[in-house]
Amino acid sequence: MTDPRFNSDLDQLLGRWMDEVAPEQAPTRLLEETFARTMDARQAGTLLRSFDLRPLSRLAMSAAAIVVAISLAAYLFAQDGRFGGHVVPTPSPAPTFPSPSPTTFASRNFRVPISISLPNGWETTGDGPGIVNLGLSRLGLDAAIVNLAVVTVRGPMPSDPWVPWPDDPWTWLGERPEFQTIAQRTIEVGGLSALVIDVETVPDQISDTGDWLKFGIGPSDGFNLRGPSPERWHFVIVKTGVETGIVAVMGASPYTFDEGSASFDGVLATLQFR
Amino acid sequence: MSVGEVTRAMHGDHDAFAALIGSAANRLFALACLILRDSDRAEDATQEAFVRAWREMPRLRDVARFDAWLRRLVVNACYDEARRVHRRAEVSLVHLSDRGISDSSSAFAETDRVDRAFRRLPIDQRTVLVLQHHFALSHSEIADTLGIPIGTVKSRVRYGAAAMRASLDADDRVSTASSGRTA
Repeated sequence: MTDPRFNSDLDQLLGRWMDEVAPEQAPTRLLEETFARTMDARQAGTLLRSFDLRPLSRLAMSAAAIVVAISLAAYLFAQDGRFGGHVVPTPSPAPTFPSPSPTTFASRNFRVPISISLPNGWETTGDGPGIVNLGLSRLGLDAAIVNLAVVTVRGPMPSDPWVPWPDDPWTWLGERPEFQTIAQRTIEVGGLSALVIDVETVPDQISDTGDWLKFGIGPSDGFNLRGPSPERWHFVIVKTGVETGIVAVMGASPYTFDEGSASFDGVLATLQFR
Repeated sequence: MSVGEVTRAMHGDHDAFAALIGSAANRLFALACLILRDSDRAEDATQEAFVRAWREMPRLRDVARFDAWLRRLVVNACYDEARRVHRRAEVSLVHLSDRGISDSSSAFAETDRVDRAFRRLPIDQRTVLVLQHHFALSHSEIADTLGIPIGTVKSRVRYGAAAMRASLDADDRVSTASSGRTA
């Protein structure tokens, strides 16, 4: 049994030591650099609010709008001499740049043989037995395609044992306290019907930041909920048999989720089971 | 903290945010320093937490919990920072010139001894001990700050205290043995 007198001594020792070594003031540089960064940083969900401009900014915006309108009118006028009946030389066509051709990825190690086209900056960053990693650096996105046959997830309650990928993932996600389901729909992936589920993490309900989905037995063969940022998750589940198929997963911040998930669905639309 | 300032900061008011952060910066920087035991890393972690706070302010659900929410961001940033520098060797450097001349050698030795023992603790145990002893938070307040069950807080405090005690005892045995040899 613990000696309470000793604990009290230890408490006092720790208290004294912390008082002695803790700095009394934060460096001025800390606040200066913080404010320099926050001046340029957008707050969550402020895309629409950014139009709530102050009078000076409104004036500038009005001036900009006039310039744009004049430019547009001039452009239309130049394109088609019907405005005012003048005939103007047709401008040479604007230069067009060929869009980069998508690269094709064919899995070598992933146990579900697949191939996908990777347009718009997507690239594969891993090809393992249980997972294919993908990334889109432009949006800072990480995504993965995991082998449904080997996936295990945390049971509905924190005390429940690990279970195989559930037959009804919408219900399972809805029962997990750390997730809040947003929407589900179906799309076609690889010629099969795929279930799409979007969820949002509930930061206040995250009591365990360990793995909640495993696709292997190694310490890093899973997804976890570490980090304070609220995130959204995009699941695309394609079953090729009763217990086979893939689970495509993408996590993103609220700022990049809509664009990222649409882009990821575009990648999955090219997926083929070989 | 004023509710009005929090609300204004949530709606993008930089001045209100600056006032909130300005009043919290000293104690949160101290929190990060104590957890990480490195002022440079503490500065990085605190700055990351503040920038994240600015970005996530509109998502704050309970204005009254701003202090606990901000503290949690700093703790999480410390965890991130500790993971990032995990591979680096931790070297305990004590700048003698920073200390008052009146420090006796025995007081200095005790500070150094506690410092060494504290650094050996896992970061989650350091965190609960700092929140309890330096910030005088109750177990339920620590649980609220960290978003973990109160039972986990109690066990971390218990294990952390036991590990500190074991480490200090081991240091005592080593110093007793070495002084015996040199006597």
